[in-house]
Amino acid sequence: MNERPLLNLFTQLRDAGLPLNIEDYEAVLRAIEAGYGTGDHETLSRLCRTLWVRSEDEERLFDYYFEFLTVPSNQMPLAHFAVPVSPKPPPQFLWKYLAIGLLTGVIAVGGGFAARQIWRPFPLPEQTSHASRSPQLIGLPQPQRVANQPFRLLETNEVLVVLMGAVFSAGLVLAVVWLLQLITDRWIQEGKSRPRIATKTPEFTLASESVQDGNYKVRTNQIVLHTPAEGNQINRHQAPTSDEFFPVTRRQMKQSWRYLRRLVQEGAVTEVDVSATVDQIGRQGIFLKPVLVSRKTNCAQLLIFLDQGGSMMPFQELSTRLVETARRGGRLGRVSVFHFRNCPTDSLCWDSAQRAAESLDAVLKRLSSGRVVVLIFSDAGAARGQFDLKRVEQTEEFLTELRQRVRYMAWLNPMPRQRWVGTTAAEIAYLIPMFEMNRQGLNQAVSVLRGKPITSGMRR
Amino acid sequence: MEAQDLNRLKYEGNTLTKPQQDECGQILYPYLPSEELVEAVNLAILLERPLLLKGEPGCGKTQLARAVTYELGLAYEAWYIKSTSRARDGLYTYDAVGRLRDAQLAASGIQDGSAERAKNPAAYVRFEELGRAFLNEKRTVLLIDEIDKADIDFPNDLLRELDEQRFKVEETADEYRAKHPPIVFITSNDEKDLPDAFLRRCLFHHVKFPVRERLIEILNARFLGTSPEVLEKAIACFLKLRQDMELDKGAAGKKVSTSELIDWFKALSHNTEEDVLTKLDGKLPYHHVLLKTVEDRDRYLGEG
Repeated sequence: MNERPLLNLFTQLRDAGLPLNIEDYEAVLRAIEAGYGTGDHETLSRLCRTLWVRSEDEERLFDYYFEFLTVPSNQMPLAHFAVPVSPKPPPQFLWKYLAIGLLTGVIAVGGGFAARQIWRPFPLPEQTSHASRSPQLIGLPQPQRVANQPFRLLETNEVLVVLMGAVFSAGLVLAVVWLLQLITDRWIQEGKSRPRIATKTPEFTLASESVQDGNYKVRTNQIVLHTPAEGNQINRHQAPTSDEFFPVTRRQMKQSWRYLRRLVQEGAVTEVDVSATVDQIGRQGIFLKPVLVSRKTNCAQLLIFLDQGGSMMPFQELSTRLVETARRGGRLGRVSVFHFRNCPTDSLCWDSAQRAAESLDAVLKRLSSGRVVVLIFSDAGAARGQFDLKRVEQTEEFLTELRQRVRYMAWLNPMPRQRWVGTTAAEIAYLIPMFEMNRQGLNQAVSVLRGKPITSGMRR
Repeated sequence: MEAQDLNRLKYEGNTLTKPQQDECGQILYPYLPSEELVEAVNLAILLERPLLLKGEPGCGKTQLARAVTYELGLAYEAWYIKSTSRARDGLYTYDAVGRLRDAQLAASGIQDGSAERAKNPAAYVRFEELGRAFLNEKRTVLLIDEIDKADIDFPNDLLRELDEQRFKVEETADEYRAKHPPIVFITSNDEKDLPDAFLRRCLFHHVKFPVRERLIEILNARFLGTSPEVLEKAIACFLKLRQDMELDKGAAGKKVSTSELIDWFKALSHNTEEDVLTKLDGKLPYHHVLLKTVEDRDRYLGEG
C-alpha cells in the first residue's frame, strides 16, 4: 500500500491555486483512517471535496483534477487513486490486441496454405515427396540427378511460398486493422474534439496559468460561461440565459465595492461611548448622563469617469454594470458618473449622450476633497493599438488638475495588459495606477482607492 | 476518553423522520439529509472543524443544526448574525453601564449589596452563544447563522477562538477553555466572499436541491397521511415551475425552494383531496407562497 495516498492530487490542486496546506492533507488521511471515503471512487471524491473545496469555483477545478488524476475503478486499491492514468492498457484493450493477433495468425497460416495450393499445378507432389525421402541416392544416374534437382529446389521454394504467403496476408490484415483504427479514431475525434478541447483543455491550461496571477476563480468562471456544455458537471453551472459573461460578475463587483469605504462618525448621536462616559464621570465625580456618539458611516465618494469613445463601444455594457453595482450594492456615500470621449478634458458630461456638460473645476469645487476618490474606466487607446502623444499630454494635464483635489485615483482598462504595450495606455500607466478589468484588477484598483500602497507588479 | 467520545458521536440522519418536540417544547420538523451531507457532518465532528454550509435560500441549511442536536442528544446554541455583529459579541458582553449604576448606588448608599458587586468585574460578564458553547458541560452544537451578513472582517476575528477553542474576557483578564469542542455549523448565503484564512479552517458543503424522490419523502414525513396521488401531482406542478424558473433565470436566479414547497403544500392541504386535484389542474393555486415578485407572478401564473 502506498504510504502517501492522494499526494499527487493534493499537490496538483495546490499548484492549481487551491489554498490547501499540510493540515488539509492530514485531515484527509485522518478521515480515511476513520473509515471515510474508502468505499469507491465516488465516496473518495466526496471526502476530498468536503475537506479541500470551499466554493463552487473550486469544486469545478477539483472535479477536473480528480477525474484527470484518478482511475475510476471499484477494485482499485486506495493507493492507486493517487497515480495518474497508468500507461498499462486496461483489460479490454488487451483482449482487443489478443484477438487481432490471433486473427492475423490464423489468416497468415491460411494465406500460406492457400499460396501453396495455388502453386500446386507446377510441382509434382509425388516426386517431391519421393525426392525428399531419398535425397542421398548416390547411385542415381547423372540426368536423373539433374532432373531431380529442380524438384529439390521446388521444395525449398514451396516453404518460401508458404512463408511469403503468410507474411503477405499477415501484413495485409495488420494494414487493414491499422487503417480501420485510423479511420475510427478520426471519427471519434471529429465527433468529440470540439467540446472536449473547448471545455477541458483550456480549463487545464488556465488553471496552471492562474497560478501565475493567483486569480483562478475568475478564470474558471470565464471558461464555464464561455464554452459549450459537455456532460453534467459543466451543464449544471452553465446558465443559458445568464448574462454574466464578463470577467467580473455583478456580485464580484459589489463585493469589491464594499471594500471601498472610509468610515466616519456622522449623523444623529445614537450610541453610547462607554469609555468617554467613564472618563466624564471621572472628571465630574458623578454620573450625570452618558456620552452619545453617532454611528460610523461610509463617507467615501466615488467619482467615475467613463470613456464613451468609439473604441469603448464594446465595453458599454460593462461600464454600465460597473456604475450600477457601485450605486446599488456598494454602500458608498455617493457615486457620481461623468462621461468623456477618448480623452478626459476639462469639460465633463453628466449623461451618456453628452448633452449636459460641466467644467472639471466646478465639479471638484462641489466635492469635499478628503473623501473623494476617482476611478477612470477607459481603454486609453489600447483597443486601437495606437500611440498618440497628444492624448498622453492631455491626459497628464487632466490628471494633474485632478490630483490637486483628489488624493487617490485608479484607472481600469478593459483591454488585457499585454495589449497596452506600445500604445498610449502604456504611457498613461506610468502616470496613474492602471489595472486590467478583471476581478483581481478591480480589487487592486479599489485598494489603491482606499489608500493602500501598490504592491509589486501592479504598476507597469 | 476523548477518542471514545468522538467515536461514539456519529450522525446518521435517520432519527428525525417525524415531527418531534425538543426539550424546550419547540416542534422539530422532520429533516432528511442527503448521504453526502451526513458524511460532511460526521467529518466535521471527527476533525473538529466548523462545517460551512452554502446553498440556495430555503434548502435547510439552518435546520440541520437542530436535527443533529436532536439526534445526538447534545446542547444547542444558535448565534444569528446581524450586519452590526462583532466577533466579541458572540463570546460575551460586558455590562459596563450596569457596573456604573451599581457604583453610583453604592456611592449614594441606597442599596447595600451594590458596592460589593461593583468591586467584582466578573459579575458583569454575560456569556453569549459561542462562549456558552465553550463552557457548557455537555457537548454543544453551535449554529452561526448567515455569517455573510456581518462585516467583511468578522469571520477573521473569530479565527483564534474557533482554532484554539479558548477565549479571554478582556475586562477581567480571565481565560476560558472549551470543555468540549463544539460542533460548529456556519451558514452563508454567499452575499460576501469569506476570507481565505477563515475558509481554510472550515469544511465546505453545498446543500443541493433535493431530487424528486427526496421531495416526496420530505412531504410524506411532514404531512402524514397524504394520498400519494395528491403528492405526486403537487410535486410535479412544483417541479415544473422550478424547471421553468431555472430555464428563464439561470443557475443564479431566485427559484422556488424546499421551504416554499412545504409552505405551499401546507396551504394546499387545508382543502379536500378532490379540491386540491382540481385546483392543481387550473392555474397555480396559492401563488402568493411561491411567486414573490411582480415579474414572477406575471410570468408563471398563467401556466399553472
